Order: sequence, then C-alpha cells, then structure tokens
Amino acid sequence: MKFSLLLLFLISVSALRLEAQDFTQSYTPIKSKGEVPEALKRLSSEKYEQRKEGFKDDRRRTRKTKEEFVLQSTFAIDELLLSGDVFYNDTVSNYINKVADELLKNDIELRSKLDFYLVRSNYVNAFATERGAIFITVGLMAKLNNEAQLAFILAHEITHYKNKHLINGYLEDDNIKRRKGKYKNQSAKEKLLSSSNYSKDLELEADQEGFDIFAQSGYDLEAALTVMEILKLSSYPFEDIPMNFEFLHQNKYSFPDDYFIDSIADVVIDEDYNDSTSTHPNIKKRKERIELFLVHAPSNDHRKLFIYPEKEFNYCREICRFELINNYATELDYAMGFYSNYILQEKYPNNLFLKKNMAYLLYAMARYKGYNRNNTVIRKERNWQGKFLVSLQFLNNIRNQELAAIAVEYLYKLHKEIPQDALVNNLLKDAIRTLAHQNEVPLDYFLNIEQKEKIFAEYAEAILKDPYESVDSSAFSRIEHKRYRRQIARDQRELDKTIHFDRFIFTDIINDEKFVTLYKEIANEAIKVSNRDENHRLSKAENKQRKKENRIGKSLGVDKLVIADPYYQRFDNRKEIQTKYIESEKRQLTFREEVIKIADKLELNATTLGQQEVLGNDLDKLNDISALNNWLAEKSAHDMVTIIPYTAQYTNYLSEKYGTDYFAWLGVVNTTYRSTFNLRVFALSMYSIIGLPIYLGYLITPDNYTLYYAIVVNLKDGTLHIQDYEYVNNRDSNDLIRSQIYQSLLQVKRKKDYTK
Amino acid sequence: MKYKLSHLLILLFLTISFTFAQRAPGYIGKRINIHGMFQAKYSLLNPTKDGSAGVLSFNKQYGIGLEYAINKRTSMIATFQTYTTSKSYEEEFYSPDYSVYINMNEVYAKLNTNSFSLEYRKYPFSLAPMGGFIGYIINYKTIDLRQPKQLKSLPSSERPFNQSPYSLVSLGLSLGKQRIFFNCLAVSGSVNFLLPLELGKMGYFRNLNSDKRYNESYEVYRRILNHDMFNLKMSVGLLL
Repeated sequence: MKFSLLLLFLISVSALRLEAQDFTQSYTPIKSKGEVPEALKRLSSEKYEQRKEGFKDDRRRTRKTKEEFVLQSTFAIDELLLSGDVFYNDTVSNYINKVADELLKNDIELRSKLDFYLVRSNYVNAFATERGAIFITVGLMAKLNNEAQLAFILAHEITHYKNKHLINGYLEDDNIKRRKGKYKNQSAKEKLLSSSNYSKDLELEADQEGFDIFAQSGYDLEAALTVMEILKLSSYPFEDIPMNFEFLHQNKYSFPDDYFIDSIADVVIDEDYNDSTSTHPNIKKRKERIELFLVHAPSNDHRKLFIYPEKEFNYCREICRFELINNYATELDYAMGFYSNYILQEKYPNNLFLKKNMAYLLYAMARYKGYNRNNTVIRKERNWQGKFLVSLQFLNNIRNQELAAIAVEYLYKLHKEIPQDALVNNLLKDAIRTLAHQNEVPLDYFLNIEQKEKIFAEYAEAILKDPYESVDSSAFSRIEHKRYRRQIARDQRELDKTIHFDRFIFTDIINDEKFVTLYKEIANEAIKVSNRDENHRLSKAENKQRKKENRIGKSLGVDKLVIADPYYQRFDNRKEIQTKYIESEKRQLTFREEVIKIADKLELNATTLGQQEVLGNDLDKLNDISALNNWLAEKSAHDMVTIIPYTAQYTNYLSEKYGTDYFAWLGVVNTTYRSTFNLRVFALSMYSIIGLPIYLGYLITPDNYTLYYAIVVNLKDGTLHIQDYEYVNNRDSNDLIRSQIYQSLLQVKRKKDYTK
Repeated sequence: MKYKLSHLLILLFLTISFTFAQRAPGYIGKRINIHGMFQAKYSLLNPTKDGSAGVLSFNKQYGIGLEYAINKRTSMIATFQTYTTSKSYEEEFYSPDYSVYINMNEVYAKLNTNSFSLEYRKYPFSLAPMGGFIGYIINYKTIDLRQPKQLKSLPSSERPFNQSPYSLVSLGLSLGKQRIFFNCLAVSGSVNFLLPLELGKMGYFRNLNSDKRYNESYEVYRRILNHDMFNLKMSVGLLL
C-alpha cells in the first residue's frame, strides 16, 4: 500500500516536472490540451433554444428582450470559445480555476455553474458572461502581483454573473432606448448618460458584493485596493525598469545622446478622470469605495496574499508574460514587445525564446523603417511616461540602416548559437537583404577592429579638440560668431559621418569569413527590395499576367488542402439585431458539406477544421486553428510590407501533421438591405409599360450583397497563392456559392497552367 | 434546310459535351448548357401571326441553343430560333380592271423566320454560366413571306412582288440572369434588344421598283424591326 502511494506520488511529481517550463533556458507557448469541454460539443442554436425556455413565463416584451440578449451572447461566447484564443486545461487556466475553488469553497452550487478561462489577449481585462463562463486575459494575469488580487477580480466577475448584471443591463438599456418608465422624454445625451450611470452602478455593486465574497475567503483584503493600481496602469508594460542598451552595443560603440531623453519622470496618471460616459467608475471612486469596505471589513490578520504556494502564482504569471511578448510580436506592437522582452531578458538572459523574439523585433522594426512605415509598429512618444519612454525615444530616433545593422549583428550571433534554427536563418538572410538592398549599404562601409582603432587614433585629436582653442573669438562680431558656429557644425557633421557608430556595429563579425560570404551572396542577389511605394506598381507584363490570372484562374496542382474554419455569416441590415445567428450557423454547416463534396468531385483531399460537429474530442484542432488564424491575421496586418511573419515558427508543424503545405480560408458574408427609392428611376420607369412593375418589384424585394472569399497559402514559404474576393449584388443562393467554391478548389487542384 | 441544320447543331452539342473533361471552369465543372428557349413580346404594336393584338397576346418565338463557358467570366452561345409573325396590308385593294375588289383590312401575310445567333456573354460579377450577364449578339435571319389567301385570287400581274426569303443581319444586346437548380437545370431570363442592319435583300433603301407599289420588303423590315427591338426571353437548359 505504502509502496503504491509512493509510486503514485513519484508519478505525479514527475508529471508536474515534465510539464513545468525552465524559463532560464527557453519557453514553449501554451496550448489547449485534454478533454474537449462539453460547452463546445453542442451547436449554439441548440443552447439558445434550451435557454430560451427559461423565459417562457416572462411578459412579452421582457421575454423578447431577454431572448435577443441570450441569442447574441450565446453565439458570441461560442465564437470566442471556438476561436482558438481561449486556452483549455492549460496550467494557467487550471490555476485560475483553483483560485476560484478556494474563493467559492462555501458555495459549491455557485461554483458548479462557473467556468474560468484564460484568453489570449493583451488587454488588461476580465469579463463575465450570463452563461457562467468567466474570462481572464493574458494581459491581466501578466500584471498581477499576487494571488489575492486575482481572487478579488474573480469575486468581482462572479458577482456580475450571480446578480445577472449582463441581462439586467441589457433590459435597462432597452428601456433607455425606448424611453420607458423613468427614462421618458430623455434626449440622446441623457440616454447615453443614463446607460453609463446604470453600468457604473452595476460595477460598484460588483465591487461591493465581490468584496463580500472575497472577505469570506482567507485572502488579504488589501489586495482589493492594490488591484486598482494595476488597472490604473493597464496600458503600461508590466514593469517599469531602467533600460540599458548594452545588450545591443556590448560597449563596442555608443548611441548618440540625442537618441535618448534627458530626464525620466515617473508615471503619473490621473485617477479622477471624467467617467461620465464610461461603463466603469473612475479609479478614484472605486478606490474610495473599497477603502470604505476595508474599514467595515473583518480583521485582516492571518489573511494571506497567497493561499497556494507563491511559486505557483509566479510560474503562471511568468507564462502569461512570455505569452504577452509573443502576442506583441504577432500583433505588430513591436515597441511594447521590445521593452517587455528586455524586462524578461534581465531576469532570464540565456532564454532562447526571448533572444529569438528580440531578434525578430529588431529585424521587423528595421524592415518597417525601410518601408517608412515605422509609425504603425512603434508607438509615438507622446502620451507615454516613465522608463518605457526611453525605449520609445530610442526606437523612433534610430535610423533605418543603423537598426538594420543591429538586427543583422544580433541575428548572426544568435545564428551561431543555434545554427539549426530555420527561423533565425531565414530572418538573418532577410535582415541582410534589408541592409544591403533596402538601405543599399555595402559591406565595406563597416569597419573591423583595426580600422576602428585607426580611425579613432586619427580623429581622436579632432574629436577632443576645443574648436575655439586656436581662435580668438573675442574680436568676433555677432555675424562672425554665427558663421563660425555654422562652420563648427559642418565640421562636426563631416566627422560624425566618418566615425558614426553604425560603422562599428560589425567589428566582432566582419572578419568572420562565413558572415562575409553570406553578406556578399545576398548583396549580389538580383532582387528588388525597396522602400518606395512605386515598386509595388506592376509592370505592363505583370499587369497582363495578372489580368490573365483573373480571367482564367491559377493552377496550383495540389492534391491535399486543409481548410481552416469555413466561415458563413448572414446579416440583415433592416433588423435591430443584424446578425442572423441561427441561419448563419445552419448555413455554415451546409457550406462545409458543400466544400467537402466539391473537393471530392475534384478528387482533392480536403480537411476542414473548426466546426463543432467535427471537433469531437480533438482539442488539437483548436490549437491548429489558432495557429493558422494568428498567422493569417499577422500576414494581413503586414499589408504591403514584405516580411517573414513572426507566427511562421508556430505553423511549421502543421505541414507535417496534415501532409500538405497548402492551407485555405473560405467564407461567405451575406447582407440584406432595404431597397432605396430613387425618384429619377421611378420617373424613367413610368415611360415603359413594363418598367413600372419591374421597378415596383425591385422596391418590394430587398437588396442583397454577398461576399465570397477564398485565400489559399503555402505555409512553408508564406506565399499567398489564391486571393479570391467576389462581391456580388445578389442573394447567397446555393448555386452561387457552389460555383464559387468550385472555382477556388479547381484552381488548387488544376495542374495545367492556362495563363502561360 | 432548317431541319438539317438543327440536326447538325444537336450533333455538335452532343459531341462537345462528351469530349470535355469535368475539371474545367463552369458550374461545378459543367461548362455546356443545352437549352430550349421561349421568347415573347406583347403584340401592342404588331399583331400576332393570327392577327390578334393587345397586351395579353404575345408574339412568341422558340429556339434551342448551346452555351459553352470559355473561362471564369465568359461564355459563347450558339442559338437557332424560329418564329412566325404577320404583316398587315391595311388598305383597300382594287384591281386595275375594277372587276376585283378586295378589302385588305385585317388581312395578314405570315412571316416565317429562322434565325441563327452567336452571343458572347459576360458574367461580370459571377462565374459563367450563372449569375447576371450581359450578352453581345450577332444574328442572321431568313424571312419567308406567305401572302394571304385573298391575294391568291388575283392575277399574278396584280399580286405584290414577293422577293422572299429575305435575309437580315442584326446586332443585339442581352441583359439577364441565369440560375442553376439541382446542379443541372439552368434557368435564365433576359431582356433582348436587336437592331437590324442594312444588309441582305431588304434594306430600307433597297426597295426594288417592282416592290414599290406594295412596299412589301419595307413593310417586312419594319415588322421584323418592331418585333426584335425589345423581347423578353426565358430559357431552360440542361447543364452537361
């Protein structure tokens, strides 16, 4: 008996150890695992029908409003749950659920109705749903300081659920919208204020009752107050530490002083901001209320910041911080990623994940600077305070070729450390392209150590020399002073060019034969990487080819295709709730069937991901969808900038798993509009005996617009092969959709290229 | 001639349909559409072949056609159509010897028309052969005029000089929409405009001296122009 217990203990310990990540070495992004939650196994329409039954006894108007709300929320929650951005059974979600267990240990019934999920999102946020699913974002978890803070947030969200705040808020909004009861005769502005006030009341109630739940647990009550500080600084990085750029220059050179701000002020944020139209009261009001609760609260003695071991919280928070860094790179928030990465690198200097992430950020920022589009990926300095501002100032001031050279150096050193890493190799080559082609910098611009020392020796005197030393400026007139100052500035600029720091960036590696060969090889490539938009314009021959492709279509000659999440959505612009949820879900299922049928007809082996009924017990498919959707979102966000997507490293396994490099996204969006009356057309129609009935027929029937899209990519090289967007002024009839699907899949399957 | 040609067309359609592979553009790989068509025009301006006129009586024409989707957006259509309409002699006719008097009001000659069209059809917003389309038509017609019985009683020297069969080339435009049902049935509706050209034996300025008295070829031309100018067309076809 004892032996078996010991064995069990050993197995559980070893399982934990296997699962635990060693942040000092690297980090592997978290994924969903284990059993598929029951909530995912049923169609949203079925859940809605079931929930609708609960409002049978309500008054007609109330019932209708509640049904509207439940319809929208059921589908919205399921969409989020199936998006791949929600983690299931991962370490952090399990930990959050454990804290919830502790919090509700005296209310088992309420606990059984709730599920807590971690969401991949950088926003500092937590939200409850009327269905009992409570979501905590990675951004929030990354910023918390202790378990008690997490517990208070959970208690706040639990109160929203318990007191049915969401559905009550919706009902109240409906009353405000229809100016019923006390909202009679309100103006538009008054309606907005009423809605905001009601929402704020609910938030204060959630704070108050949440505090009561929180107080019943053993957590330190002060955490309710400190968590407000986190909310106050929600848009800032998770820590505010001074930034030392030595990790970039390694004391081989120094960056010019004007790349940095002179003084760094602490972050000061007004707590008492105007919240008249906000959904939440401002931080000051919330803090005052919590302080009041604390006065009347039971004793805080023997209460703890951590009920579970502190290292467990720290481990989960660290995971979220790593995830946050990953997300910053995926969502093109490079400056924030750069600073956050630095914070973690200070703790884990040998972490390979962080090094790769930093290498990518440097490469990507250099690339964007080369395209003169750095504004989209590096935040502007204004509106920011604290030490984060230093990194912003630096990134905004550094020039294209300087950053590109830094990226090349960083990547080359990383490549030497992990020579087999495909991502690093590709990034290195592309970073050299950025430098050699986009910025047109020849290799001989960079100096080796001997050359550097020689130059310094040569110019040392000039650098240190006082320009007024040999000049008697006392007799200078004002104009002469000015002229002389200009002369000094000119000389200084000339000197700066000669001894500019970017010439010394490669001093460590320029004598490396491998590096020189690689640089020369890439510099000699006959490619055109330009920072000018005119190069995106197509030549005549390219235009002709594109027109031909538009007419005939492409021929990929592919036998196997994976289709991520076939999408179908119907909207009715004439209705208050414009999304036709139930119809869309039904159509989505038939759409998927059609895709498979047509693929079979073309003898194309197609696999679809993402539908509830095919999800079965395979949570891995959700991970795959998430990887694919993130890749596509990043690829589209890069827009006209040719760049290797950061998420490419997370999609490599998919090619092997599904036995194909080709992945597709297919979807249909249909919108119905009311036909608009046109007096001129009406007058014209009166001229013909059949014109009038035709026009009247047009007016009676609604307008329909259908968008069909198909995107086919080669994940391995990131090439976008097919990009069909068909916008038709027509209903989404079966024949239309079928013919579009066929056309897309035909291009995938067809071997012979008719455009040549 | 007519029957031989239609047989030939059917043979051609079948040959094309069996020789083309499925992995092609078109509706789910089906790029051939063999269809029968019905075209109608209300007989307000022109009476029908029986001489009836009004909003509720229609001049009808029937035909068969073959549509072939060339690529994503375009198709070619070959069509054979036939219709019968009438030409009115709205006059009182007296024989030169005053022995014969014929009241020609409500006397109609039948015009039998065989028409061959080639249409280049574009589906600008959808994939051929389905969706809204605009077609550019070139049409060749032969028109056979059969004079009314009343005129047969006249001595041949007094009868109108009949040069039929006339021939005519027209250019046209077709605007419409084609839907596919059950993956094989193509149903289309369109509005057609045909404009006759000054070609063949019956141009407006080509009246023969012998024709001047009855102005027959001009009347036929006017009649056909009226008929073809604006038509509604329905077709039902089988996708192959």
